[in-house]
Amino acid sequence: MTIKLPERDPEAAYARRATARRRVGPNAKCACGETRSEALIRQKKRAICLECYRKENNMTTKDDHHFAGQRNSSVTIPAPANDHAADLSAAQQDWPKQTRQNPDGSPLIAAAGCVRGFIDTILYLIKQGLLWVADMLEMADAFLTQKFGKRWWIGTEIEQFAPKK
Amino acid sequence: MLRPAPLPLVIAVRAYPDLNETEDDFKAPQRKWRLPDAMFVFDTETRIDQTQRLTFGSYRFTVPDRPVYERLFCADDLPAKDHRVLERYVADARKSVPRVFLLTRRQFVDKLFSAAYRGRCLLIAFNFPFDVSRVAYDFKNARRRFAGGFSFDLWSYTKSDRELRDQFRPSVGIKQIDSKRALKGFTGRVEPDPEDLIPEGSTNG
Repeated sequence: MTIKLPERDPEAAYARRATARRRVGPNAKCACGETRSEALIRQKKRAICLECYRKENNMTTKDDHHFAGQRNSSVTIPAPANDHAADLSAAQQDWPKQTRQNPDGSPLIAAAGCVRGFIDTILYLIKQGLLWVADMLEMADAFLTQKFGKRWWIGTEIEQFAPKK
Repeated sequence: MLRPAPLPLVIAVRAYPDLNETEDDFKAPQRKWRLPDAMFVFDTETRIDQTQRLTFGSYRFTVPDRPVYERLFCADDLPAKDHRVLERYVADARKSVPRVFLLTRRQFVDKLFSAAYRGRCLLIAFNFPFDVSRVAYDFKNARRRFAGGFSFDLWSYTKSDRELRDQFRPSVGIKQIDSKRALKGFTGRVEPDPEDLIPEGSTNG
């Protein structure tokens, strides 16, 4: 499952994904398992992700992400370089150009940028920080059901959390 | 009864040489073409007089695992009365299909550029040469690959009340082969991005 807002400009989003795929080649994958084209760099004989490339060159693997866009706020949050390129910055590309660039420094546009950036960041945190927990709980339930039977929680401390019928 | 004397006739024999083995073995180089995963399907509606000017069109953009997007677009010079009809239709349609919008022709060709040129998705039309000529703002006689055909300019900008061709966007070249088939393609543009270029000798782009 992926959490994504409906794309404002699906054609442009598709073009960005397609050009990123062409840049690194089809089915490109880093040795660490990263497959998102936006986070990959094409080198002569291999594709390498931003984080691995930086590790090899003794650089930091964290980026400062301008959550509201650089023109709208100077506030940054640290983000892993791969997620910065493939998730957070990619989400900003779908904002209206006016909001992304705010050429005249309009305070209202800056506020809109903050709102959009907050939404994107929350979705990213939900995906990175919460979604895996739900996946893990479902797998754990399947495992316990297989091991101890259907109502495995009866007679355990977990029974108090069972939904009341 | 006397038979007429036979007349000599010149006999011509047309002969076909046997094909050499090397010619038998000839195969066109295999193109490792991959079916794009997205589709951009569009159609146009026109006036029924001899000018057949564009009135409106519709398109659908589909990408796997994502919602289907449907849009209408209208001609730049559509009378206000006709425009209101389309607006009313879109307002009604949005009650059941929330992602329907009404675009201008200029917005539509920008979408076409993103999806078909940059994204290289499948571009589908029922009669592409006709449909693309309806959304073009200008045309020229094509050169080079499409010599003998037409070159349609879709993307433009306005300067001093004049509509000029956007050199940073391609044109669409069309060359008819016969009444049912045509060669179609994008022409070159100024300063293309490296990702948009097809490498020399590439069989799959």
